[in-house]
Amino acid sequence: MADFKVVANAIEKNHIIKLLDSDRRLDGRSKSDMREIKIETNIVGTAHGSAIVHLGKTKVICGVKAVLSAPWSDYPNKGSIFVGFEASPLSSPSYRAGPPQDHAIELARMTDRAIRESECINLEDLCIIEGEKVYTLNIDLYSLDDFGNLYDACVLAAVAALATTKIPEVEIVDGNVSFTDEVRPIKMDAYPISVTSYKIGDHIVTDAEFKEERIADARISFGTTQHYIVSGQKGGKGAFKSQEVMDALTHSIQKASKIREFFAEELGLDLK
Amino acid sequence: MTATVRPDGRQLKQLRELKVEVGNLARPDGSSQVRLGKNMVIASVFGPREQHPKFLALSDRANVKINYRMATFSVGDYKRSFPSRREKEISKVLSEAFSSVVITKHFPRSSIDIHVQMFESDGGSRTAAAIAVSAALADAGIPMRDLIGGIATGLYGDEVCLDLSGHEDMKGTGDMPILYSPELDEVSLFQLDGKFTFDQFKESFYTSIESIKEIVEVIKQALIAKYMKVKDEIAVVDDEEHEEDVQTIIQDTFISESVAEPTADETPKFNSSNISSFDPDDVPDGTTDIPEETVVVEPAATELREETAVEAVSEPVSEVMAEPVSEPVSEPIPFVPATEEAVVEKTTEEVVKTEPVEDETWYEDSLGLKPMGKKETLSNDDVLRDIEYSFEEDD
Amino acid sequence: MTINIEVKDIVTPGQVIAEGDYKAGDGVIKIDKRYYPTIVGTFSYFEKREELRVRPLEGRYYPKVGDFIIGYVEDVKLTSWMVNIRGPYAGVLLASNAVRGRFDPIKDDARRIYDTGEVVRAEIVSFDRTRDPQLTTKDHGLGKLNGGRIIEINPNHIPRLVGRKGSMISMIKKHTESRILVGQNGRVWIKSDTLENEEMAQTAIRQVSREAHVSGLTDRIKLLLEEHSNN
Repeated sequence: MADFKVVANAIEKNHIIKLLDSDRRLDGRSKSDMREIKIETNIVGTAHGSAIVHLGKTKVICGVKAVLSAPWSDYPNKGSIFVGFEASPLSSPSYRAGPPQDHAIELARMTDRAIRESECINLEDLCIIEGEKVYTLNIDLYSLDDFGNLYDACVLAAVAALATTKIPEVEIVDGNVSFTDEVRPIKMDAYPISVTSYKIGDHIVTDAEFKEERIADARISFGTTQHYIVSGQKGGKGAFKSQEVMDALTHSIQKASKIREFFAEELGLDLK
Repeated sequence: MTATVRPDGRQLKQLRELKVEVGNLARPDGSSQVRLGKNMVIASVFGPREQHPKFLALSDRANVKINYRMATFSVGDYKRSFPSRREKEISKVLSEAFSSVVITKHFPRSSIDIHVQMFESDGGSRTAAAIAVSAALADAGIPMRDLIGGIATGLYGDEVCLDLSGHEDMKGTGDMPILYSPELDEVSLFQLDGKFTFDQFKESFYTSIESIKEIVEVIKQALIAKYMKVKDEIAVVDDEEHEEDVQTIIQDTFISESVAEPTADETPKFNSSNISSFDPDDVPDGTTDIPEETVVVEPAATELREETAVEAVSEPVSEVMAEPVSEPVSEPIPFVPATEEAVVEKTTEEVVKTEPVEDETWYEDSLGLKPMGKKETLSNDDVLRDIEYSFEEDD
Repeated sequence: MTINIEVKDIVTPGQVIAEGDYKAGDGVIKIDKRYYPTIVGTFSYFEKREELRVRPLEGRYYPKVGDFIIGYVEDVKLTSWMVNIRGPYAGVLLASNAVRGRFDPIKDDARRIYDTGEVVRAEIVSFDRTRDPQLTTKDHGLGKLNGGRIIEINPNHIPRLVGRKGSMISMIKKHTESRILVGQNGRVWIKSDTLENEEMAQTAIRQVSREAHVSGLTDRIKLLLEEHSNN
């Protein structure tokens, strides 16, 4: 039982497509529905911010850890962020322990772009002494249960963790910077949300579960904030027609705004 | 003995709060989440499955491979993401510990992969991980001789303290994690660092063992809790007759369904280009009538079967059996994961079961179909015709 | 000779079921005159043979000679196919067990018979601890499967899904007008004329699997199916 390369079988593929022909999905959704989202925050005491996000049965955990570091020389007054993702072998029979594989790196970079380019974190707020000490936020994601579409789940988990992150205040004694016990929230200016559309045969479906994901020809993710499109990535070996790209984008924007409202309600965020 | 010795106000021989939850993940075969004080750990089990790479496979038993990892945010400082020497060592000792209780000889050449990830760690993380592994293995239905529990006992403020927290471990003068199976009375992992006198060692060791009995109880309760909701209503179909029936009924279903099944070759080959145009329902008329009644084996039907079978045997079957094509399959040595006595018992059962002569002839007779059993030979022309047919379908 | 547990109780490894002299059946191990479960499961005792057994509640499919299974072709070799049978080992389907007559790898293409991703119903003809399970698709009722859908359930729930004398499965078939094949590896193939019927059969089978160890199941499933038939 070659767990590591589970191939979609012909019956499963035909069945999924037949359902899609009548706008149905394996789990009873319609083509454009997202799965239910659940957020748990403040999971891990050792992290400065943490969250588990459930996207249907897909589960991702995110931990944010602030460390002190020197700023980049071209941005002396800005803190920095770093997004890491580990396709944890906990989460799927196809992941193996070992160095990160290509798809895990792609996922980390996609999430990184959505967070970074949305400028959701005010990086100047993370500066302690200009040119000398800044906060670096290490945002690390681990998949717990890969039931498909980790792309959106990762962005959701990162945003949920960041929104509840409290970084320690610092004290400066003789130029030496150290953490105190006091904490403060970080300033967030925007809330990026990613929505991924998959192409299966002639159908475009939102938020595929893993059985749909493994037969999908291609996928396209859009990260959007309240006002901008901030990240995008097409993946998979198939291709999208130009109209399909536009449709997927419009759909992503609509879905994202609903999810953002849900987030705002759950986490008490202020959407501008 | 003062309770104030410990920073969190615990008694010297008091455990932190232990919460075990099983089956919390959907993809793995077995999973668990454990919180021991602030420690938070998730374990998942995959297998027994094929060993990759193949050369690591053991010919007589399964590999038990535990992969212990810590999240970057699980400790006070930011941890680098690649595995440290500590993580590799713990993976090794845990793998060895669990190899001793898992009945690995049931699954030769296969691999049981266990991943255990710490998300928050606060002293005694390897023993918390072991508790999670133990629960996840049981949840996955992997046969074990006993459950394993684990705890670290150590020296803090010159006292023997059970279940050291992270702070106590750092400030203390000794730490001794143990994994132990209470029923087997087997210590499967033992590590020690620090300065123990003989008496302190003895006290620590027996304190651990006593407390592990409690821990194993918690694991058992968590496992039972998963099915407990319905405890009063449990009624498994449970008699020997039925078990043997299932085999026959399933075999019958396979055969009765095949009558209604169109010849396999009518459907195009599976590839992405023609998938959307292919309608699996597009089968010739008359193929959807299913003889439902063939499924239920009424006692009367069984009698009928035997009668017809006797008649059929008297017909010249020998012609068909002329040239066996495939080599006679050597008598299978059934592999039964049970005790020695059970193996003997099963063997005789199997032999009786694998004599389908009557069945085949019955189907030939009543359905007007020829069995395509191993005994039948066809000429080369027939083979070619088969293959040509399958060429056509692709067009 | 004492049995400490009541029949049908849920037991876990490390729990003493009995002491004395019994026969240790599936899921039971004897250590120093004591009998322990090796898995989490329900306890049963066969008085005639004085046999103790624990029926698993979870666990993977383990191949057995004579099992009828539904497999996915994962790899095509020159004269054989590797088939995913959902067990710890890949099933091997040799050409001689799949094609009538002689198969010549020079002239004949194995891919034309079964291609990667195709679904076969097969029987396990041989399996022991040194060899991977050998399959055959040559017997009557075996071969390629097309159309419909496949759902995967816990293989330990198969006896329940079949029911006494096949009552459960035939009830589901009748009410949903579906064709259903139950593979002993826990893969169930359903095909019906309408999606509604297929869906209904799927719901019923899932419920059987979910509540496999709860009594009164037949009645509940019957109710569910009758509601469906009336609509």
